[in-house]
Amino acid sequence: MLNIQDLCVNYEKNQVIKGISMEVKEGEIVTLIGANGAGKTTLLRTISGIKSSSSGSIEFMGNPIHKMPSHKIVDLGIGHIPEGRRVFPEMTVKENLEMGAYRRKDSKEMKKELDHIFELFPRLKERISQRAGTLSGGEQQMLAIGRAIMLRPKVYLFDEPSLGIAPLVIAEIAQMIKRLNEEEGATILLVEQNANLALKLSHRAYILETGKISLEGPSEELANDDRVQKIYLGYE
Amino acid sequence: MTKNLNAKKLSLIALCAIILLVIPILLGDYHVHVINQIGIFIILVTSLNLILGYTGQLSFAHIGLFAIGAYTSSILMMTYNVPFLLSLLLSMVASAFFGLLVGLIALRFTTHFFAIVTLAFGEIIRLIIYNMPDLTGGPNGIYNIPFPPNVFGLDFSQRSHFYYIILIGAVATVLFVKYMIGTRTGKAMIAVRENETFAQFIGINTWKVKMISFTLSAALAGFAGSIYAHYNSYISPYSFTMMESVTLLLMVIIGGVGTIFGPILGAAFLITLPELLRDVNEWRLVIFGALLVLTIMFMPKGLLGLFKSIQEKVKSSKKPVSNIDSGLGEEERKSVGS
Repeated sequence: MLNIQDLCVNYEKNQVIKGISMEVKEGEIVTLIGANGAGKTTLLRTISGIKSSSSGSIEFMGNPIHKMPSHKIVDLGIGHIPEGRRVFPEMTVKENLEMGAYRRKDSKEMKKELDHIFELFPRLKERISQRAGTLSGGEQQMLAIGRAIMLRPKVYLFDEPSLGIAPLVIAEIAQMIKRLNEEEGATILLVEQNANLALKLSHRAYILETGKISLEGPSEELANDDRVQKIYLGYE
Repeated sequence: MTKNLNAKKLSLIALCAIILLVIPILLGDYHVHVINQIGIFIILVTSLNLILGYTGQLSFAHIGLFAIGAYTSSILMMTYNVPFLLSLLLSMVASAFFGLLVGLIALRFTTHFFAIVTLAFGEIIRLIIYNMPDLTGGPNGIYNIPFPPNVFGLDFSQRSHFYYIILIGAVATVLFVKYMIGTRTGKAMIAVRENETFAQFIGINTWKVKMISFTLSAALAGFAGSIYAHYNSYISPYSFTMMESVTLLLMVIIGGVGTIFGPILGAAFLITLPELLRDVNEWRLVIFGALLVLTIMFMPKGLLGLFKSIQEKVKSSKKPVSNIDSGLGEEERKSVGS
């Protein structure tokens, strides 16, 4: 579904992504694990067209998207939940969700989608007219996910959904990602530092080290790999 | 309850309308003149507020776009005998067109860089006007700009009659901006202001949204310029200096950025103030500077924000019950966040 070939990305003269090839198939949860500065966020930003690539290609359902502006990529059905639980702090919860559906023009469907999201996250419904900036970290992350669901994307790109969030809420969000995949058939590309969580949640995993993929395979296999256990899972 | 509130609101609007309508009958010529100036600047500052307050782009080019409106309208009416309403309309078109051109270049830059580029364009426009004496009168400016033709027995060479043109213009501009920010594009503008990168994640074509905002805002600046020219009957490049740009900015900031009433308050305040301080005119800029610093330090939401917070304090001291609700939320938030 999402096919990346020999992708290179530069910041000025520094090459951050050094020829990555990877694939996400329909209905999969694929995770990308790596340390700080490995290029995970850059890769996601390049997929959604916020950052431009210097060479290589990205194909989404047969369409080359590596030269497309970001709003067109959103239209094709890629929903990006950026790191740091991004919301519009000055807007209310409801307004944030409505902004999420900005590319949709049918207001009837939007109403349905809103109800659907409040069903998934009852806590957001309680806070519907509260300013998003006053929500807790976990609630903001739920809002950020809800905002992405408003568009019903085919692929979700999650960037560090567990970052800076209370453990109990992390479990809730992980559950939500699983539900999106199992009940709604969404395809998910998940970037995580919390390798433990990511490997449990996903079907397949890629390990990214300073801009290159060093290891890939089914998540269970990687979870049992000696090196992965030592470096990313912290086993002695 | 809501019905009562609506009735209250309606009667308040009616009261304001009546007061606004009778102002020129009750007040003397000098006061009407000051109010007229305020009205013209309300139009201009409201237009600046669309790009600065709602879209988050700091533009110094508006004084130039205002000048283009003023000159286009005067030249069309005087040299080419175009009727007033058509000149007014064409001056908006001209400003919008130049706004579009400036935007095409300036909006390639963001934040401070955008501000600097627009600053340059503001000056370029003034210098071009200054250096084209055949068309614009150069440093001498244009004299005897005709007043709009009389209608309904109103003689617009009189300030108290011209007042109604400005009133209609200001009300229309304010309502237009209020309508605009309620639309889908308007919401996208606010999204761009709040966080431009995040707006891109949502799928907003941020560049297009900024272009629309800048062009519309330029058209409104041209509208203000045309009215300014026909009201004062005299324009020269000295009315459109960078210092004026800064004053406009002060009006938006001191009034309250990104609010409908902020620019109205700001324009009224910053035009009335120098009138009151006539005796210490040479200190005007010092006082403005101090006001800007104080505003940013102590009331970042401007005069409007100050009024609102006073209003809320009065309310909450009257009805302490309404606070319990939000107080609970705070505690819960802490327990979830930690």
